[in-house]
Amino acid sequence: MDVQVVENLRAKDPVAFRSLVERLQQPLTGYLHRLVGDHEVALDLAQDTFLQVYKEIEKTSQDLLLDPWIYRIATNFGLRYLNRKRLRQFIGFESASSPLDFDIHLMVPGPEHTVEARMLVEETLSKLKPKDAACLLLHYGNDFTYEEIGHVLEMTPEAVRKRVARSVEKFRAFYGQSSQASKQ
Amino acid sequence: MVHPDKSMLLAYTRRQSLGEAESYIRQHIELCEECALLCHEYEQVSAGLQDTLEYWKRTSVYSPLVERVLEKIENPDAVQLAHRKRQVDRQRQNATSSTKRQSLNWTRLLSTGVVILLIITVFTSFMLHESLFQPNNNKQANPGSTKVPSPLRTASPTPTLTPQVTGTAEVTGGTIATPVAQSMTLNICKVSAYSFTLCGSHLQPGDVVEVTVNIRGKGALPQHVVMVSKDGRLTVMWYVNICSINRVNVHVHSRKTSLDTSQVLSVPVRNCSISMDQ
Repeated sequence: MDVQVVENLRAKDPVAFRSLVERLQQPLTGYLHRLVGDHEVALDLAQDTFLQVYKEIEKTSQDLLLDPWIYRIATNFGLRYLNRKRLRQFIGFESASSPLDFDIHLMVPGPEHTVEARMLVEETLSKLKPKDAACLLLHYGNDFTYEEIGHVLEMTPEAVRKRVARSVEKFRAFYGQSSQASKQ
Repeated sequence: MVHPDKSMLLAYTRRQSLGEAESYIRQHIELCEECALLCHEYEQVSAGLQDTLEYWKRTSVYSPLVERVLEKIENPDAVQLAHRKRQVDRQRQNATSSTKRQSLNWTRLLSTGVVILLIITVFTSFMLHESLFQPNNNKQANPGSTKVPSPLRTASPTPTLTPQVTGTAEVTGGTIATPVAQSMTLNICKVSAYSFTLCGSHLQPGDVVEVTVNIRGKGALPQHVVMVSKDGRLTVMWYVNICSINRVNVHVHSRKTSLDTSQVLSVPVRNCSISMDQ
């Protein structure tokens, strides 16, 4: 399937490109949103990703794995944004947490512990190392296998396994705490 | 019992390919209660995480990108402008949202600048210090020393000689000059009432040097042109009534390198009464 799609994309077929964007827009933007923690920035980065795909697809090899390749571009954009953001924060041009980072959907009413858990997930995600967060999000949010994540982040499946485990340990700590709290 | 790595257990619960280790972990979990509990906990955490991420997926609505992307492909400049404007708006909104935080940030920026400046200052002073303590450390010279006209390097070392008792005794071993021009040293190594000998070391072997001595109030002594020995030493002697002389200006000009070196050397303590008799 990928081969034909890639061929059409290489030929700059507008229909193929439109269907690609429509298929991947939501999951890709959602992934970027969780990675960078900003809705608007995620949209911009997703847009840049698709543009990059349009420009660079001609240079790829025949055996291209389309989705991991697109996610790799998106991840690179996301990580670059986070690095710049960290630098700006270090220098002091940007505050550490902006009100835009706060997700409106976290305020959706629901059982209090659920809302709290979501907030904790958000907070824990923001504290993870960017690459660890990328591994976790791709695996749990976008159903990528460790091998596919390895393609995206250019690392071995073993490295991905370690990173996912390291991230999950952080969540395990607070899930443990929250389950204890709910029992009490 | 050897427990598998936690990441392996997690991968097992996530049904990721583990190769040969998979069957081992399966068997291990059946026997090991601790690992079985950990796997159970991982399953719970994974379920919680997936729930949250699924919820976000369902509730997050992103404006369609297709038109934006296609527009950018067709008219990149206009969209780039809009993109830039959005970025500026975001930054402005971020800036105005918390002026207090901004002032704190400026404090942080200022302190970062101060730290950088401090590092640069320390580094520069260290480098300066290093260059000051290179062979040319004339600044520590005797304040009473006389400067030689157009000297390249001047030094007025303090003699540390032990005078000999006999009148014609040769006073040796006094380190008169500090190193000049790499490690070249000049000193008055022998003194009697009617002569003194200038010794030099660490000169360029085989070099031919012109040595001139000026005595304050008496003028210049005859110039000597000498060849530096193979071991980099030179010895020049002048006959002069040394008793009334405290300091001499020595000027050495290398014919090979055209390098000039000037030093003010103190004449070591000598017993003139005895030597005069001889």
